[in-house]
Amino acid sequence: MIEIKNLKYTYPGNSEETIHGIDFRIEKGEIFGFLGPSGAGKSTTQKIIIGILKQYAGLVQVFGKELRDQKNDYYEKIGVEFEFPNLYTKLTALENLKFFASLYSGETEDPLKLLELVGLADDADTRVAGYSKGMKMRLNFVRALLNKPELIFLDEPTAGLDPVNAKNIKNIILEKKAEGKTIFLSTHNMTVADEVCDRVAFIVDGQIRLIDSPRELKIRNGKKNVRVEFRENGSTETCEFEMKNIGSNMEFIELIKSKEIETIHTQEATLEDIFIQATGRSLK
Amino acid sequence: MRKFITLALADLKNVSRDSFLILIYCIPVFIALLFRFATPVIADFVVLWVDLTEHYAFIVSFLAFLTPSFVGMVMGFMLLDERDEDILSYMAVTPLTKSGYMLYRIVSPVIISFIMMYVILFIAHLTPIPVIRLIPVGLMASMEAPMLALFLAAFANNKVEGLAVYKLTSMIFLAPFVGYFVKSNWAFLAGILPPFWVSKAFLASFEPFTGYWLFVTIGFVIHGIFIYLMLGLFNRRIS
Repeated sequence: MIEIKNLKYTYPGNSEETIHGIDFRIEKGEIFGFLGPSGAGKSTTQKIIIGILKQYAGLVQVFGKELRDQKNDYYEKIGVEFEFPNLYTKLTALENLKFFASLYSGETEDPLKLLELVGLADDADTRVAGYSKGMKMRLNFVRALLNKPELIFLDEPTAGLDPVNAKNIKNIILEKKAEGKTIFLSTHNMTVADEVCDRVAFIVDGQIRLIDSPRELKIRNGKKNVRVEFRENGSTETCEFEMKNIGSNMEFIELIKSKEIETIHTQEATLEDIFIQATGRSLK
Repeated sequence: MRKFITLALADLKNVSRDSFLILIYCIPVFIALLFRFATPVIADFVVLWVDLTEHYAFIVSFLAFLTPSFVGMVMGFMLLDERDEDILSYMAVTPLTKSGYMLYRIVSPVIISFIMMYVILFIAHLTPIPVIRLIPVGLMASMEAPMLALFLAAFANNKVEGLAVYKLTSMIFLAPFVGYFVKSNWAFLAGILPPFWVSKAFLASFEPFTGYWLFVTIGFVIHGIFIYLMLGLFNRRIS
C-alpha cells in the first residue's frame, strides 16, 4: 500500500535534513504505528505521504504509484485526521461534514451516521464553536472517514479524549482494519500503539530505529520471568521465577498453593521501555 | 463548478453568522445612499465656489474601488479565521487541493465585488452608468478585493489588527486624487497603486477617450502583479 525508500527531506531555508533516509513498507489492511517524541519527524513524514510537502528525495509509492505522479483523485482515496481539529467553528458539526463531503466526487458516508459513531448525533446541530475539545477531536477524527478512504492517516487520534471515548475510537480503528482499510497512525501514546497497531516504527531525529510488531518487541526485549505478589504477615511480598520449566518449579507451585496471591505477571517489556532502549530517548 | 457553489454556500453561512461581516457588507450601501442624497445638497451649498456636478463622475468612481475594498475586508477576515482554524491544511488533502481552494478565494471576491459594484452605482445614481463599457473597469476594480483580502490575512494576527491593516491599505485610495487633480505627467507615478487605474479607466469610460483601453490594460496588469505578490506573502505566512 505504501512503500518508502531512502526518503530524505529538508525544510526550505534549513541547512540540515529533517528526515535522514528512512525506509518502510505498509501492507494493505495493516495498522502501522509511527511512534516518536515531538519533533522526531512523524508529522513531516506524514505530510510528505499526504502530498503537502513536495520537495522530498527518495521513493514514496502509494497505491503502487510514485507520489509525484498521483493526480487529484489521490485525495478521493485517502482520509486524513490532523493532530489539531481544523473545522469551521461557525458551522454546526453536521454542516461541517456535509460541506467537506461535497468536495468529493466519489461515494461518501452519511454524515449523521458518522456523528452517531462517535456519540455526537445529539449535538449534530450545535455549532462547532460550542464544542468541547474532546468533541472537536471526535468530529475531526470521524471526518477522516467521510470519503470511505482506503488509506487513513491518523495523528494522535485519542489525544484529549476521556477513556470511554478513547476506547470507542480505538474500536472504530479496529473495525476499519477489519473492513480491509490501511491505517497509518502517528502517535507518542504507547498504549494506543500497543493496543491497535500490527507493526510499529520508532522514529527519532528523522531516523527509524526499529520496526516490528508490538507483541514481538515486548517478548523479545522482556525478561522471561514471572513476578508473583502475595500477602505475608500483613504486607505484600514479591517473588520472581524463570518461566522456563515453570510447571515443574516446586518453589513456584508451593508459593501459589500456600500464599494469598495478589498478582501474577509475566515480565515482558513495555513498548515505552523498548523505545527508550532502542533510541535512548523518552517519548515525552 | 459544483465545488465552487458548495464553497460559496458555506461562505454565505459563515458570513450570515457573523454580524460584523454583515455590517461590513452594508457599509458600501450606506455610502451609496449618502452619495445619492447628500451630494446634491452639498453641491447646492457650495455652488458659489465650485460646481460639484462637474466632478460627479470622479465622486462616483470612488464607489468603484470602495466596494471591492469592503468585499476584500470581509474576505480578509474570513481568510484570517480560516488561517486560525487551519482550514487550508485540510483543503490541501481533499480533491479540491490547496491551489483549487486559493483559486476560489481569489475568484469569488472578484465576482461578488463586480455584481455589488453595479448595484452600488445604481443606488448612488449620481450619473448615468455606461453599463457595458464599464464591464472591464468593473472586473479590474474587483481584483482589488482578493488583493486586499490576501494582504490583510498575510499581515494581521487577528481581526483587531486586521482593521488596522485595512486602514493602512486605505492609503492607496489617495492615488486617484493624485490622478485627478495633479495635471502633470508626474501624477502617473501614483500609477504604482492599483486604484489609480480604476479611477482613470472609470472616468475614461464616460467619454470616447482613446486612453480607456490603455488604462484598463495597465490596470489589469498592475492588479495581477499585486495579487501574485500578496499570494506569495500569504503562502509564506501560512507555511
